[in-house]
Formats: sequence, structure tokens, C-alpha cells
Amino acid sequence: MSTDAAEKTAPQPLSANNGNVTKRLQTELMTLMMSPTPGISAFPNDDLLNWTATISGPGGTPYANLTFKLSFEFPANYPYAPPTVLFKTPIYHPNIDFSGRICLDILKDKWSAIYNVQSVLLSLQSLLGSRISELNQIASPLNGQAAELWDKDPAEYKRLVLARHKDLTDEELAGL
Amino acid sequence: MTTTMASSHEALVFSSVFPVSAHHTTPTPLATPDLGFTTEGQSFGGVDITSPLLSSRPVAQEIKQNQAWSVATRYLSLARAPFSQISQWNLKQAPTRDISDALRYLLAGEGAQAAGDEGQSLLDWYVNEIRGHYLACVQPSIQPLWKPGLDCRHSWSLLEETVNRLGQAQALYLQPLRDYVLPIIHDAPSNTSTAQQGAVHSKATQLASKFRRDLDAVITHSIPLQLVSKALSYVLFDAGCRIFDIHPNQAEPKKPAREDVLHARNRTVRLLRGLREVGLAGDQAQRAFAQAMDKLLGQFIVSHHMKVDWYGRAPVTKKLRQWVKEGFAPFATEVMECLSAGETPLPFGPLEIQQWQDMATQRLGRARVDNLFDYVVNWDRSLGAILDLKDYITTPAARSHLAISFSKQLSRRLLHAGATTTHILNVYIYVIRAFNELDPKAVLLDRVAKPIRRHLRDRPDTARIIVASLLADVQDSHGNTLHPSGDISLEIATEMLHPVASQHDHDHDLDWGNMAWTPDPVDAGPEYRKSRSTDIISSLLSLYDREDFITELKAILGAHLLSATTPGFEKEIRLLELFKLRLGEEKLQACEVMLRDVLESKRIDASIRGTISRNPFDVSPDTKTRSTRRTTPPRPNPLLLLLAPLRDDTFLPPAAVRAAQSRYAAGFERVKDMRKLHWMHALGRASVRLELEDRVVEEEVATWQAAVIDAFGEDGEAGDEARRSVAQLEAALEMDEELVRNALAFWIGRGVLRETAPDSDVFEVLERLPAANDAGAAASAATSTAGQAARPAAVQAIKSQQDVLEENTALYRQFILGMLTNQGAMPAPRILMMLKMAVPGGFGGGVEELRGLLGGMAEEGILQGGGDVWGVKK
Repeated sequence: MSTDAAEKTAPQPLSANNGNVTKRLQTELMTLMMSPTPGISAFPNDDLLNWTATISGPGGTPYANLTFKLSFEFPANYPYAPPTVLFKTPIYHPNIDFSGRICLDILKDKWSAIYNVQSVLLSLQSLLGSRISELNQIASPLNGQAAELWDKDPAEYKRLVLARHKDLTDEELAGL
Repeated sequence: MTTTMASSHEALVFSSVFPVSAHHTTPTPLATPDLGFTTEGQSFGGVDITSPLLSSRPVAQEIKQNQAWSVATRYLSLARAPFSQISQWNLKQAPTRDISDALRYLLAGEGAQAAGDEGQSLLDWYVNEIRGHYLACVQPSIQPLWKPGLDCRHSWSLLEETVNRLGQAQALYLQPLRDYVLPIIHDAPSNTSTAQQGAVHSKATQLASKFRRDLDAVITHSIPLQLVSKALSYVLFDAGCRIFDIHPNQAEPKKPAREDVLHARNRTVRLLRGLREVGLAGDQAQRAFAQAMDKLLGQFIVSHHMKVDWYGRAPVTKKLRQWVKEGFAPFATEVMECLSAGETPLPFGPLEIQQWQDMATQRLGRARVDNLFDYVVNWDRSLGAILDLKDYITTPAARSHLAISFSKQLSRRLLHAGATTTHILNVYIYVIRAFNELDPKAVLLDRVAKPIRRHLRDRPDTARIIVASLLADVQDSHGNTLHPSGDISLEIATEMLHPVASQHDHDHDLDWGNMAWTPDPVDAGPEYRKSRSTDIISSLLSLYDREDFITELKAILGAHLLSATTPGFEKEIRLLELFKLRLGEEKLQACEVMLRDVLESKRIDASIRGTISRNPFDVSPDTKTRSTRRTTPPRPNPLLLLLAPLRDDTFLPPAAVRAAQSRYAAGFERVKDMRKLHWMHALGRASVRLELEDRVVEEEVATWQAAVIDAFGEDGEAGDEARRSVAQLEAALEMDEELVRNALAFWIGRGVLRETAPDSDVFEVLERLPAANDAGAAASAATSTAGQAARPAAVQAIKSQQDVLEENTALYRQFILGMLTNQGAMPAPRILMMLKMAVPGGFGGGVEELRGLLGGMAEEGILQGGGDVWGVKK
């Protein structure tokens, strides 16, 4: 008898919209966990809208045997807008600048709601391995030197990749 | 006495010759004539006796005045003697002729007129004299009585002593004035007219009262008034306690004799009169009295007179009002009369008494509020206290005080982790009932129930307990009350027995003919709704969103139906109808289907049994073990989908049972159009009858238990005396080791099996109970396994938390791996927190379970741990 309307209509911790995002991310997480793909992995930080992901460099590329950490930040209207993805581990790559920003069309204008964390990670992994034959991307490289060296001097390129790479410590990870 | 008389007489004689005292003036001797002044041209000469100056000039008058003054002051002066010798003080003897002449001259005669102060100066002098005497003689005897920090218990004697001493001194001071001085003023102008006489009279009274005032001032200024009023307030309080039979410091009140009451009353009156006499009954005393009365009222309210009426369940407020009117007010009047006699006593009219009564009720209410939680918990024996409160909460301030205070008590005493949910639910029901009595408009209930509801909603087991309690049986077939286990709220279950409250409250606001209509309470919140059902169950069911309850209801109803033995499911049907009424019919279809399935199963069961000519469920495999198996009614799939995960331990039932099952299944398929029957072996019950060599054991047991004991019987002819090892049993029955051991422990506890040798893992049937000397061993064996034997109860149809944990281990491992891969090493508590957040359904264990899991992963080389921090092995 002492139910009051306020109790029932009290705002839920997550609004309906936010609830959808959470639900979707939960599902994605569950999928990632239940069918793990070798070489990629992701897990939420303290809340579901911030994730940390790990990809290992594909074999046969300058990035082989290296692991890279990435941060995912999901907007409130995900999956209708792409997540913001940044490389946290320093990386030397034509399409990634020194702050870790990535030039990848599916993270920008080519984003579609059918993409998910897994597909983004796979794309990024292949970006590391690709010969950047995708001309539309080489046309505007974020790292011009890398773009040049890629073809001209693979040995120097690999040296620079290794020089730049540095695994994050646990403390740095915790700060993500 | 004679000696003192004599000595004083001597002193008088002596002093008439030699003036001894320095403090009365010695006048010009008569023998020395006043020669006046020589006039101009006149030589200084001898005594001119004829000169008229001597008799008529003012100088002569002055001399006379001086002489009279000297005589009078000498007479009025007081002997300085220490107070301890007060008995030697004596009153002034009647003045001799010349003294009274002198007095008359000074007070009423020419002397007075000449001085122009009409006797004032002599009285002033006397007051001064008294002051000096008082300070010198009386005060030193009173001062030590009133040391700071005096003990209240001595107040009576202290006050009485003080009053006594002051009274003596006062009598001494007043006596000459009253006896000799005032009559002179009175009598003096006997020759004047009556009008003048009246004026003289009033002057005399005026003088007397001025003198009294002066005297009072002397006394009041010499005594520490604060201490006195403190003592007085204690004395009055104590007197009140005695008169009204209140015992503030005694545990066991004893009935006071009537004489005691009278004695206390007389003593008080005497003391107060004395105080007034010595002038200590002023404002201070009245203030002290007010304090005492205030304290007395407070004490009365906590006294045994105002105890909660636990047996009669009646309010005590009426008694309180009566006391105020017939005990308190007369006492106050009497004291005030004593304190202010002479002046008009304050009348205590009905208005004052009414105010006092209200005040007392308020105070009683506040005292009751302080213990409200106890009253609520002891509902409904505490009805009296609640009714007392009802008289209290007449003002918004009182209502809010009650609500705030009770909320505090709740949060301190109930809403903490130490209280079980069942307890909180029970108390919540008491709160509802008590507050409905207290405030039928339910505004207060609304306010105090909010924190309870919030707390209950936060508890994970609330919904389960409510639903389980609703389904529980609290009365056996004879109407006796059972005492169910801790997870059942007896109050909820009892509430279910009441008929369903009417759901159709009509709107009272629109009922123009309703003579009992009252406006909304002033402190009602904006969400206040008038036509609230006060039904307890509905308030419990509104705790959660419907979905939560329905989920819980499905699970519990399912379990309940499976284990129910009552044939008609009447209670379940009733409950379901009740829920439908409250939660909406469409939401409960799942439950409805479940219930219908069960009922249909019974019908099918009956028809299958009918079609199979001989009852296939009685099987007698061999002479020793004979298990009669009543299977749970088969259930079509929908039920299984709706239920919580069912325990599906598989094992091989005894061959005979298998045969019976397949016959039954065939019967089922015939009836139900080729539907398959899926047996849930673990969920059945079996009645087992064991015919051993010396005894017969009959038990109603779970199916796996029956299967295990049956396995001992099957191979009896093999000649190995029915011995089985655990491994053999596992293989033969295709049963989990845990279940096998569980069943073995059960049968050992029943004294049917025993382990051939300790730790051998081989068991055999006890065909004969051991003789007496072995009984001890058996008993110890039985007790050692008692703990295990108690475990079958834990194997329930619904999966336990442990099972859930094990089942989800793989999932948890994936999550942990993912987490640690991406976020680096972290301590176990943080991993637990993240798991709880990330895994759908949360983590089914605590940090200890998690550490076990992490340890396992570390052993497999997946993780590495340092301290409590775990990370992925690189």
C-alpha cells in the first residue's frame, strides 16, 4: 500500500538508450569471450563504454611477435556511430600517427552498425599486415616517412618499427 | 535561665552607669548646661539659669532628642553572641518607663516630628543594627551549610535547619519591634481624629512591611540563593515522588503507607511555610518549584504508573490526564498557596489543567516514541503503547518527530547486514499493522516504510522469501501452527490464510454521504493517495517490479509443484489466482501452464495406470531389497523450459525400475500421441522396504539412494556377501561419485550399511545389528557420518550455487583471461569486481572461489600470480 509512484518510475541507472548500448556491448563481449579469435582480444574497463583491446602483430610483417594495446571508447548511440579507437602502444605505421590515431575508413565514414569490436580488431590487424595497397589510404598518410620507407627500405622500416615499439607496463595499462 | 536573667540585669545596671557599648551614642550629659551663644556686647558669663533658652530653644530639644536616642538605641541594640549559644539569646524584656518614653518621643512624639522622618531613622538604625548582628552572629552559622556542591540527599535537613535558624533569628529581631515599637506608633495619636488614626494605622503597617522587606533583603543577600533553590527544587521533587508513589531510583516500588504520604505532605507544607516566614519564598522559590514540577511530570511518565499496558492493551493516557487533574494540579495549588500565602494564590483554572494535561500527553508520547521500535516488534501486545501514541500525534510537529525518530531506530536496529531478510520482512509487517492502527490514513506508514522497502529491494533473497513464504504451510491439517524454517516468514504465511482483501475500494472523496470523511492529513506528501489498500500482501508484492516477482515465482512454484505431495494443489491454485489478481493475468501464463501441466500429468498418470493391467510400479527384484517406486508424474517439455535449471544427474535405475519405466513410457506414448517421455531420475521419490535378517527397514528416500541400496541387493547371489566398493557402484549405476557417497552415507546413518574397514571404500550390508558392545562403534560411525547423512537435503531439484559455479567455470576462465590480457595484472578483489560487472548474471561466488579458480589457471601455466596479483603468463 505504500508503493509510491516515485519508487516505480524512479529513473533506472541506465536510460533506455544507454541500456541498449550496454546490452549490445554485453553481447559483443560474450561473443568475444565464447569464440576467441587468436591474436585479438578485448575487455571492458571499469564501465562498459570503455574497453581495452590487444592485437598481436601478424606473422610475416614487420610487426610479427609484437603486441599492441588499443583503447575503445563507445559513444552513447553505438552501434550507430563508430567507437573511437586509439593505439596506446607506440607504433610506426603509415596510417597511424604518433598519438595513436588511426586512419581507417570503417572507423570514420564507412562505419556501419554491422561492424563490431571483433571486426574492427580484425581490420586493424590486417591493416598492420597489409602492403597498404589501398591507394585511397596511402594518398593521405598520417606518417609520410613510414609511407615512403614501406616500399623503399623495408629493413630501415622494420628497424624503426622495433625502435618505436614499447610494451606498456601494468601501471600504464591501469591508467587507460 | 536565672543566671542569664541575672547577668543581663547586671549588664543593664552596669551600662546605666558606664556606657560600655561603643555603638550607641552617648548624649551630652544633662549636668552640662547648654549656655547658648552670647549675644553681641554681652560678656561671657556664668550660668544664667533663668535664661529661657534651656527649655524652649531647639537646642534643648536636640538634647532631649539625643538623650531619647541614646536610651532607645541602647535598649534596642542586640547582644553579639555566637549562634551556638542561641539558647542564651533572649527576647527583650518590656521596656522600662524611661525607655518607652524615649521610644514614644522618638517615634510618635515631638522627636519624630522634629526629625521629620516620623520614626524612620530609628527603624533604619535598627535595620542596620540587625544587619550587623546578622552578619556577625547568624550568618556564620548558616554559611557552612551551603557549600557549593552540596549533596541533594541532605536537602531536606539542610533547608529545615536553615529555616529553623533563620526563624529564630528573625523572631529575635522582630520581637521588640512588634511588641514595643509598633504599639507606640499605633497608640500615639489617641487624641487625633479617626481619619488621622486610619492614616497612622496605614503608616504603621507600611513601616512594618518596609522593615520586613529590609530584613528579607538582609537574609536573601546573605544566602547562596542558587543552592537554596536547587535544594528546594529537589525537596519538592522528592515530596512529589513520595506523595505520588514514584520511585526514580528504585527497581521495585513498594506501596507506601498512607501515613508516609501524609507525613511527606505535612513536612513539605511546614517547610514551605517556614521558608515563606524567613523570606525565602520569593521568585527563586517559585522557579525552583516550577523546575521540580517539571521534573516530577517527567518522572511520573517514566514511572511504573505509566507502564505500557501489555496485558490489557489499553492506553494509559486517560490515567495520565486524570492524574494531572486530580493529583498534580492540587499538589501544585497547595505548594503555591504555601509559597505565596498572604498574596492571592495563583488560581489554577481548568484552562491551566487542560494545558498541563496536553503537555503530559505530549511528553508521554515522546517517551513512547523513543521505544517505538520495541513496541512495533512486539505488536500486537503493545497495542496500549500505540494507542498512547495516537493521542500524541495530533500536531504536525509530533508526527514528524515520530517519523524521524522511528526511521532512525529502524536504520540502527533493523536495516543492517546482521538482520535476516525474514526478520526484516516480519518487522515490516508489524510496522504496517502498528502504523495502520496509529494512523489509518497511512501517511506516517508511507514515510517510515520507505527505508525498509528500499533496503528490502536491495536484498537479493527478498523476492524468494516472500514467494516461498506465501506458498508455505503454516498450519497442519488440524489447524495447529507449525514453525517453519528460517527462510520462511511466518507472518507472511499467516497473512495468506486471511481472505483476500477487497480490491475494489471505492473512492471516498466522491462518496458524498460518507459521514466519516476527513480531509487529507496536513503532512501528506504530494503523492499521497487516499484509497490505499492496507493489505499487507499487496504492499509486499509492490516491493518489486512485476517481472522480478514473476521470475522468482516461476522458479519457486516449479520447485514447489515438483515436491508437493498434496493431491489437489489447492493452495497453489489459490496463490496463483491471488498473484493474477495483483500482477495481471497475462504475466502469469507461464505459471498457469505449469500448474495445468501438473494437473494434467496426474490425470494421464491415472489413465496409464488404469490401462496397464497390473500395477507395474511394484517390483520385487529379490527377497532382500524391494523398492516400490512412485515416479514423479511425467512432464511435457513446456514445464522444463520454464523452470530454473533442473538437476539432471544421470544414473542407471535398477533394472526392474527401468522395465517399469519403459512400460510406463509406452503407456504414455499411447495416450499422448507419440510424445516421448523423458525421465528425470534424480527427481523421483521411492519408498524402500528392506527385509534384513533381523529387522525390516522402511524409508521414503530419493531415487539415487534407492538405486544404491538396490545395487547391494542385486548381486547378493554372487557370494561376496553384498560388498561393494565405491568404484564398483559408480560403474554399475553410472552415477557420480558424489551421489554414490552421499547415498552410502545416508544408509550408513540408517544403520543398513557399514564400511568393511576404515578407509577401505568398500561397504557391506549389515544383516544383523551389532551386539551391544558393537553398538558404540556403530553409533560413532553413525554420528561420524551424520554430517554426511544430513546432506541429501542439500541435493535439491534446483541447482545450487556451487553447481552453477562449476558449470560456468569455462566461461569465467575466458573472461578472466580476456580481462588480464587486456588490462594487465590485477589483484583478485579487482578481478572479482570486474567479473561481476562483465559476466552476464555475475560471478557465482566470492573472492575465495575466484582465488581457487585463478590458482587452477596458474597451475595450468595460463596465469602467473605474485601475492594476490594475477597476470597472464608471458
